Amino acid sequence: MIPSLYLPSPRARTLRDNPNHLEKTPSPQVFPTHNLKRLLQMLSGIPKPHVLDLGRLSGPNIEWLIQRGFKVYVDDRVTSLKPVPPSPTSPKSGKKKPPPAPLEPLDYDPAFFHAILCWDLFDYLVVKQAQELGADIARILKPKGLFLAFFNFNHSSPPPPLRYRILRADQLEYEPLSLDPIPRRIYENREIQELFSGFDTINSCFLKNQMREVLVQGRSG
Amino acid sequence: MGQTAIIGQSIQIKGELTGNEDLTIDGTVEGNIELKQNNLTIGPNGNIKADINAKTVTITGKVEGNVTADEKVEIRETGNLRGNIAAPRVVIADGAFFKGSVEMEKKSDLAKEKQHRDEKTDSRPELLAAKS
Repeated sequence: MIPSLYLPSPRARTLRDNPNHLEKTPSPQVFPTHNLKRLLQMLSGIPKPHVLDLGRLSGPNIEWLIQRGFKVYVDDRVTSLKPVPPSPTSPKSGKKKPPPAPLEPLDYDPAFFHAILCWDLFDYLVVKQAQELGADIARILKPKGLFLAFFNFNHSSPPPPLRYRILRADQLEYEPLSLDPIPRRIYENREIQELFSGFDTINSCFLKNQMREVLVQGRSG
Repeated sequence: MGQTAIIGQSIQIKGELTGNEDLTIDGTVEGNIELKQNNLTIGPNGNIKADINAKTVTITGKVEGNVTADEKVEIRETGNLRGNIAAPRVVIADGAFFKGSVEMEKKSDLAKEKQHRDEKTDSRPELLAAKS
């Protein structure tokens, strides 16, 4: 199946990042999060849990987490994704697009992390990359370790690139960013199920902002 | 008022850097940096491949190595750090690059860790001697 791709509009920029930008820009919005709260609750009995954040770097999130006793590992995989240039050949030429470069593997010991925060990283990956990342996450997650991911389901008006800031355990700010567009993919439910077939689903919920929050847990042994 | 020493853009140092005054590095340093009682600033042109131990560390240039501070580590927007941070307070600006781990260490924890490291270093020759 050909995944739907979305190129965010160039006007999706924030005044915070680009104060000289005159066009109308979306402002940050606050949304509830059920699964982050659940993840934090499930880790509450573990002394100094190791948490890996693969999303866009957010200093306040790191501070928020370390103040609550986490050891936080930061490996921003969203910023390193390159915007995809438009194909130089027309679709009628019949030439196949080159496959995307494989993702750099997650260079961590097996069964190391109690939890991994992916935010919406998967939305920016093609199927093969997403499968590779899913397998890599399963490798470095401890048995019963937790894994949080978001998926956009808004076909009509998908969000621009976002940074997620933790305001409270149950509340996130979605900050639109002034960035070059990276194609954003919209998954089918079946694809998400397949992606996490090696995990147990703790909770998968669909928010009013048309984001799906998925919290899964690695299997023991 | 404390003095601030400056290592300029064209200076390259290899080895151990220690001192008792605040320091700004805008050049290249490879090795180890120990400024336990003082503040260290890595300027925008600074390029460091070293483990750092200082009272506070502010990064606006590039650092590869582990950073330990008694009070605070700050990575500003232009800063780039590949390494682990241990400090009671950590501030990372949006737009900065950081890859590594962050652990909030209280001063007492850092002192214990340092003592443990020193003991290990002190005992190393004996271990080697015992082996030989």
